[in-house]
Amino acid sequence: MLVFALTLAGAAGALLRFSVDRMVRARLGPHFPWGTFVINVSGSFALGLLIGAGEHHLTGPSIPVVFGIGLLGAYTTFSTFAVDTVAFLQRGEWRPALANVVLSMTCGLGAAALGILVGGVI
Amino acid sequence: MPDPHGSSPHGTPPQRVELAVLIAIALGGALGTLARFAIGRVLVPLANGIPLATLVVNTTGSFLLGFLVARTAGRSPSERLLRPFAAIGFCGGFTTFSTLVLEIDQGLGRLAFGSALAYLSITVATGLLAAAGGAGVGHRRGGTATTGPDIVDPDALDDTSGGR
Repeated sequence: MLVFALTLAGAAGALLRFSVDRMVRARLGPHFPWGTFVINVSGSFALGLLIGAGEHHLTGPSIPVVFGIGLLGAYTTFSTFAVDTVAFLQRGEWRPALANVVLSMTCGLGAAALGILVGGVI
Repeated sequence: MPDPHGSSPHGTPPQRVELAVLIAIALGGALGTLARFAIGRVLVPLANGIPLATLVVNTTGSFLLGFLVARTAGRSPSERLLRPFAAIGFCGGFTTFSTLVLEIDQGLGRLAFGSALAYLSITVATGLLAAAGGAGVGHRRGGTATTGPDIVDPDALDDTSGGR
């Protein structure tokens, strides 16, 4: 049952990532990976919410697993972040490479922390 | 996003996506998620608190994606489902960013600053090295005649970047 739920959640997370990336890319263009940035920051906030809420309320043990590991784990991605950063570096574009690392990490960590705070309140 | 068929001029509204492409992404994402979950069950955190499972998943997934992007650059349309399945679906679903930052935040929250910062730096360093290594291997095997420092073709990157 858990495996079935994880399968569905993982598929949904990947499709959601694909759609959000397309939407962001259509608006902001392909020069900087804003799509992946938006995905990773929003997914980190959502996981923070889930964990923050879980610390205070009795959500069943499988809800964080299915939504946190399944949906949000598949929605957010590290490999694209790494490959895009390396591609910038290999073209000698160290500024966007550095910006990608610093922005993704600081905003991701901040969004997750904010999510934990907000989740603990609601 | 990645228009799997080639290139629509940037700035135009996204084209409709074929159902087969969506199914390939969903299948890859589901498999990647199950693999990540299984590894999380097997690999326990290190003694210093560093979550080994996430580190292993993100590093190997970055290597695989670097390899795939390099290997499939300029490939024939007969392999058009390979990228949605393996790159966008599997690698994207296998690796995770949200778990990574939550683990770091929780380490910082426990005042384990040293290991949280070490975990962050090690993940970024090994992830970038793995992606570069995968791209190097992919280019050698793919036989694309790319030489010089510009190993990853920017067009190939545009084709998949973000969606994975």
